[in-house]
Amino acid sequence: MKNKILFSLIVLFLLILTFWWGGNAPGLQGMPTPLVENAAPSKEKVQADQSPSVAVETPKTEDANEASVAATGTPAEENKSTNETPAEPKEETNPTISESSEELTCTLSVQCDTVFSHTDWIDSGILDILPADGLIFPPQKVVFYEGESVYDVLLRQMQENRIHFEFSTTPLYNSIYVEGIGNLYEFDCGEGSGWMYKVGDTFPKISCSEYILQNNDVVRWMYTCDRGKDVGDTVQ
Amino acid sequence: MKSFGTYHPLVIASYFIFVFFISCLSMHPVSLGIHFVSAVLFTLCLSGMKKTVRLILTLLPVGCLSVLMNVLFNHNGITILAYFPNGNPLTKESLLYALCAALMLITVILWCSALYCIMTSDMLIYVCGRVFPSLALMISMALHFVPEFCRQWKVIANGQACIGKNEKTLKNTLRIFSILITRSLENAMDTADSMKSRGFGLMPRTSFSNYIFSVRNGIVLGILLLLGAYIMAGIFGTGFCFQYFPQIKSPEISFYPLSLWLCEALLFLLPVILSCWEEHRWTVSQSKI
Repeated sequence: MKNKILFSLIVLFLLILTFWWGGNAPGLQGMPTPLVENAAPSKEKVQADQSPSVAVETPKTEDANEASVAATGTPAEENKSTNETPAEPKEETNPTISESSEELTCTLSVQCDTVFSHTDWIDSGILDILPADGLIFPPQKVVFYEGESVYDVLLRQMQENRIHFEFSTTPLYNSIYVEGIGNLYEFDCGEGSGWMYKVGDTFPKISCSEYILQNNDVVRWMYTCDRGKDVGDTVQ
Repeated sequence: MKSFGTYHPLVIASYFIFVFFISCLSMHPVSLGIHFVSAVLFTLCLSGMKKTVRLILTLLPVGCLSVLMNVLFNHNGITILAYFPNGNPLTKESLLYALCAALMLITVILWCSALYCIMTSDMLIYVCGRVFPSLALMISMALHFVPEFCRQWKVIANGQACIGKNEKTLKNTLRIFSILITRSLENAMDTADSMKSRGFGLMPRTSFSNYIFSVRNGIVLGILLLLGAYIMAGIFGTGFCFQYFPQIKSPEISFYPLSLWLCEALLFLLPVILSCWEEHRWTVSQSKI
């Protein structure tokens, strides 16, 4: 009996220690602000089954996106026979869409300046390699082809400029989750940190591989340290 | 090398605990090299050239698989070497990390084989029997199980060969396997019965052992504890700092890590040194006669 009580106390102690170490403890890794209840991780990883509950406040954009997916899906497949492949070898993820030939431009940038206001949360080794102005990829006009998604453009630009970029794929939803750009990963700067993307003024609540770009869109990839609040995402 | 097996179980157990902890916890490439070389030397002294080479050759595929897995799932690092077909990068840092992790895996498996040769089930029960008796018994029986299985297999195969079934066909092999399973199940029943009839599980129970903690054990244990404590302090402190990600960065080599590596080599090779020294003493005293 005595042993059992002792054992459970040890387990409890270990659990508390683990949670403390895991970053929930203030001052170590975690947030000094109170945790937001029911906060779905509002990064770009919002998969198909989650999107209705999260994107209540932006139904319009979502419908538009889905419509554009549907709209560009069929003509792209018809264009398959034209065989005008752009000079991009790595397009295994969505070959049918990228084969459409029309060249469009958008503005792409990747920035991580929010990290510098939380330098005590981040490992100094990662801080060393980040650019001083926080611009991993300064804003510039890039070419893309009709029907390509935010992810396609990002992948091509990162590979062309030899910037490190890691993602993971969920084939079931055909969704891409961006884990790290320029060796700055999710959770590197506190518990609520990760990469988000902004098209124009909104943060789309769908995966970046689902968001089909329009001509002259302004895409900004931003690193958040506080679940999107510090980069201006108001939707929780 | 078998002379290390004549030490007190406590000394042997603490040696292996330190060895496992240290080789699992420090990821500095130099430390990994030291661990690997000493593990190979230990195995060499224990079981000879031929067996060591065979063991390392069988471990190589395991290492390769571990490197492959690591590289496939870890893409961190600033130096991009190439791209995988799905678009994720292959980096120099992740490759180096994978190699180091594979080396660590092989080293730990080598130590496990060494532990198996040195630590008999008797010693295991002596060391752990007081704290968790049933678990210790189970571990020792499980460790005993595999070689026993192989031995029984040979016996049955010989028996089958005597009645003319010595061809290595699938049917015969399955037959031997079936006999083996039946026999080991029966054995388990026998063991359980015999243990019960000898009073296993009754409370006022003692176990006999004839291990004596002599002066030489005390000296060796003292050296082990001193070295181990120093290295552990280094591991949890800053002694083995080495940064793999996002870029490889190592602090300048100063006296402190050098002393740690020396202590590691001493600790890991202590049994080898002891056995060499004992052999030397033996030849010297022989030549005096």
